[in-house]
Amino acid sequence: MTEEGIFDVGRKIIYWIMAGFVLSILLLSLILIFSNYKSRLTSVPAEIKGGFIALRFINSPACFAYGDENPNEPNPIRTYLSTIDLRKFTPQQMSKCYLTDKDKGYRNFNFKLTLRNFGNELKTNNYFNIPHFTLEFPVLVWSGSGFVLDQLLIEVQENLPSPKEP
Amino acid sequence: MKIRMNKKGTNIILVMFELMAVVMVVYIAIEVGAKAATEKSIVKTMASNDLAMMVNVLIATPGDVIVQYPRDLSELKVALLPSSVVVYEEDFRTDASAVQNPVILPDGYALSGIVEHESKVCLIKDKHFISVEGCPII
Repeated sequence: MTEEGIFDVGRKIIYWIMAGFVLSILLLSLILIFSNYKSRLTSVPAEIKGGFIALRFINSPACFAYGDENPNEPNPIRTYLSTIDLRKFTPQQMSKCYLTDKDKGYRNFNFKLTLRNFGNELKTNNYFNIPHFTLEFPVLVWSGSGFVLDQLLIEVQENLPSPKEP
Repeated sequence: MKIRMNKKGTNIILVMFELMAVVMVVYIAIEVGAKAATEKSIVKTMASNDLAMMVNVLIATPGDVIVQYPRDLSELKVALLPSSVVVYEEDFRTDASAVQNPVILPDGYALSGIVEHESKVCLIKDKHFISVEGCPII
């Protein structure tokens, strides 16, 4: 091999080491761009997800919605939408309505419910006072003798990152 | 014995290697792009998100309900597990690309049902039981 040939081979090797490094980064960037695009395409705003979950608090008889007995109809309990039965607005009923995993429940949505005028407050079991956004629903509150108009404020905590080991 | 290689011979071998490397890089880039364009992960993710939100709304709806999912799911399978919605292609236990969305149920509620390759999928709420089935023909 002539001297020129040796020099050429050496130069090309250095070039390909650098080119290989740059090309690997470019290919990885391409893969990341596609992944990011897919994530953005399929993401749903947290307000929508949290809002749909929160609907149960005021509309489901399994949560706090007021219902009266209706013995002559096929469904024995007639539920009234957008209502809160104060007798059911308790931590025990909240555990029946929405209970997250005790160890990893911070990864789910968690809520704090507050009745503005009545002042009653309830939290889900992994709510750590880190609200990301707040929902407001006008509700009729059954206090035992009649309905009273109030505002239900729902502070929503989105999934939190895993706590770091000390 | 010394092997003498002139500069022209060296260049031909190097050019061949360079061409091979370029062809390989272009092939990988095209494969990644084509795979991203044709894979079903986006459809699965959107279906799983939508069905989980539909289950949450059904929980918030008193009485019995039947609701149809508007997209065609004939290429996918849907399973309602005890605390999640899964959309997958093969077996949800082994399919690494299955998309799972957790759902927190109130006491007394249950999820059930598996639907495979149905174009019209319906969620049916019967008292406290929510199931997934092919939509009834009306």
